[in-house]
Amino acid sequence: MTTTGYSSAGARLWQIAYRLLCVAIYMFLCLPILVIVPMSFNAEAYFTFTPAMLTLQPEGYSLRWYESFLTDPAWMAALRNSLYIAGLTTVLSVSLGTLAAVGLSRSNIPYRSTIMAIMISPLVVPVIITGAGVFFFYSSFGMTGTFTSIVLSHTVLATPFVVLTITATLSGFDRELMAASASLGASSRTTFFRIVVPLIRPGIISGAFFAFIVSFDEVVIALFLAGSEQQTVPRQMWSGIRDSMQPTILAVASILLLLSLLLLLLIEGLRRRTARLLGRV
Amino acid sequence: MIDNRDFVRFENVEKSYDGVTQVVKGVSFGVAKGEFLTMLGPSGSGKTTCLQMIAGFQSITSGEIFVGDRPVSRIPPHKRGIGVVFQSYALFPHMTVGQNIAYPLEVRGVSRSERVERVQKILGMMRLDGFIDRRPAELSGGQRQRVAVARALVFNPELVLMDEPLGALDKQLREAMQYEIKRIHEQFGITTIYVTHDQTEALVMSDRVAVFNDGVIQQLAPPDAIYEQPANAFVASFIGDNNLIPGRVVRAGNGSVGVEVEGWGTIDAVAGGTAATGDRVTLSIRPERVVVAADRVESGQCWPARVAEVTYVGDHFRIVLAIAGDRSIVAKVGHLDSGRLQKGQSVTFGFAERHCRCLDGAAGPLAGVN
Repeated sequence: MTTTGYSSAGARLWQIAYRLLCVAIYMFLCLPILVIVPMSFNAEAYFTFTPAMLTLQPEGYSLRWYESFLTDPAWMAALRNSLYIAGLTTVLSVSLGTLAAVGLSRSNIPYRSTIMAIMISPLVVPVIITGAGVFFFYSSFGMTGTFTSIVLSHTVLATPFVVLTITATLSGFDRELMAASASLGASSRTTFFRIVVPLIRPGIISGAFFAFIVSFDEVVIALFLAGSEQQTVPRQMWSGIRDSMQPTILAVASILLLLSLLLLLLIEGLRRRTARLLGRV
Repeated sequence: MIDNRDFVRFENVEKSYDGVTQVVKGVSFGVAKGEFLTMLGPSGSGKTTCLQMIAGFQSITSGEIFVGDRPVSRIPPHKRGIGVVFQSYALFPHMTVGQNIAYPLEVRGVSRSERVERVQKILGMMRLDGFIDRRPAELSGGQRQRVAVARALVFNPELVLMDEPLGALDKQLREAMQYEIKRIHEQFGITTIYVTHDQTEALVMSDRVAVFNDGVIQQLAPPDAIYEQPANAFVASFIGDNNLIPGRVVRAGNGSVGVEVEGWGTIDAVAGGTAATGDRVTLSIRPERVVVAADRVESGQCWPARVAEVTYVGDHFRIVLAIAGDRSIVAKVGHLDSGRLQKGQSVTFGFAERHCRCLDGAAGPLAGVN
């Protein structure tokens, strides 16, 4: 949408209205998320802006809820559990998702679209259904309340993201490179690690970030499967809201927000760097 | 010319992708060690499929291909040890020129010091010194092309396959690279099978040319024979400019035939096929073999005609002559001392019997091709 000096008054008015609408949509999407950031610096144990905060008095602000997060053994245990579960989930879903995406990119695979649809179905199925499903599944093995069951369930949720990001990277992949590698004497295993993996690395890394975030933010499966030993950060927040109602949650939420933002920036930076290296900006 | 032993041998090779349509229909031929053989043909003629079957990128439906007496159909591509140059070059974009060329040595477990030495040596031979640390994206088309050739040759394969390697280059660079590849072939003496749809490329570079059409080799011969003695109407029309005139044999014997062309008369020609009296045939006369004169032609058979079109092509004129029976014939005429021909002018034209070939009617599979 660009206007020239010759456009009519109506067109210019529409131009302004269009921009205002865009700003309004962004505000609608972002404000509820962004409002928690200043609120997390609240000096009082309230979920509202105190008069001291609104008049920008320094006493109205403090880092006490960040401190409470970092010093509370329950929160720290939850953070450790979350990192552990998200880490394992990332490793598993990246390995499985990469193999699946590379395999499905071959044109001679029968029922390709069907397999793909099944593979990404966890994205479509409501998480509550998956949660109930894995609960009954793992109960029959007596595996509820174990790290294994949570990691495996999170892997189911995270793998579609990996498959999708890598499939997107592979769409620009020149399959002749694999033929070239074979003609130069490389086995398919060597070709995979020396040619395919380096070229789809941006897809693998963004897939890994997505997988990590999916697991790190996940609450429904954690509610169904986790015992007290597997308390995760989202689950701790959940019980924080229901039981104690302390602004510590806001501090945690702000930290999570910052983490997500950093990962997104990293993914984008990585994408640009690769594009530049490969000479197709 | 070259060692007669068939280094690469196709034995009744057939290929079908869908089990119904045959893309390659029972092709048999041999390539001598050190030979430069070009597979030439229009797209869909089966030439690229043949190349891919040698490389192992496509399976062989029936028949067998031998490379150095070894049947290859059960050997996976990475164990065939054949260098391949792709039309898209297929350089690895995440590796530098040096890493690309060292790759085949690396996967073969060649030591680091030897790798460096061999990469340096071939970069010198390919006139690529100073490019070792560049990435493919930073090279021009011609440089990428040379890197691709260097990578396919650095591990000393006994056979190298090139799939339209000059297709992506502009005309001038393409011509320069033709001589470059020819030079490399002579320098390395490596058996080369080259695929192209460009007839000039085929004629300029090859020891022998295999003309493909419709999944069958139409003719396999040295470039001059392909051009001067086309085996059938397809080859005659596919290679170079040609006058193809349908007619009927009225006299045959001793390698010479008389062909009756409706509305024109009886023309003496060299028997290029197996036509007998009464058969429908095609006469082939190269435009540069047609002699045109303002008054009369000195030797051979000649007829009167009228100049219908004159086109200036730089080093010659392309003349369309209208002759009896609503026919026309194309001639290439050099710059004449007597001035240029004018449209509408009456002239005499002719050609020697030995320059007019009588080809069997329809293009089809040829018996006795190697």
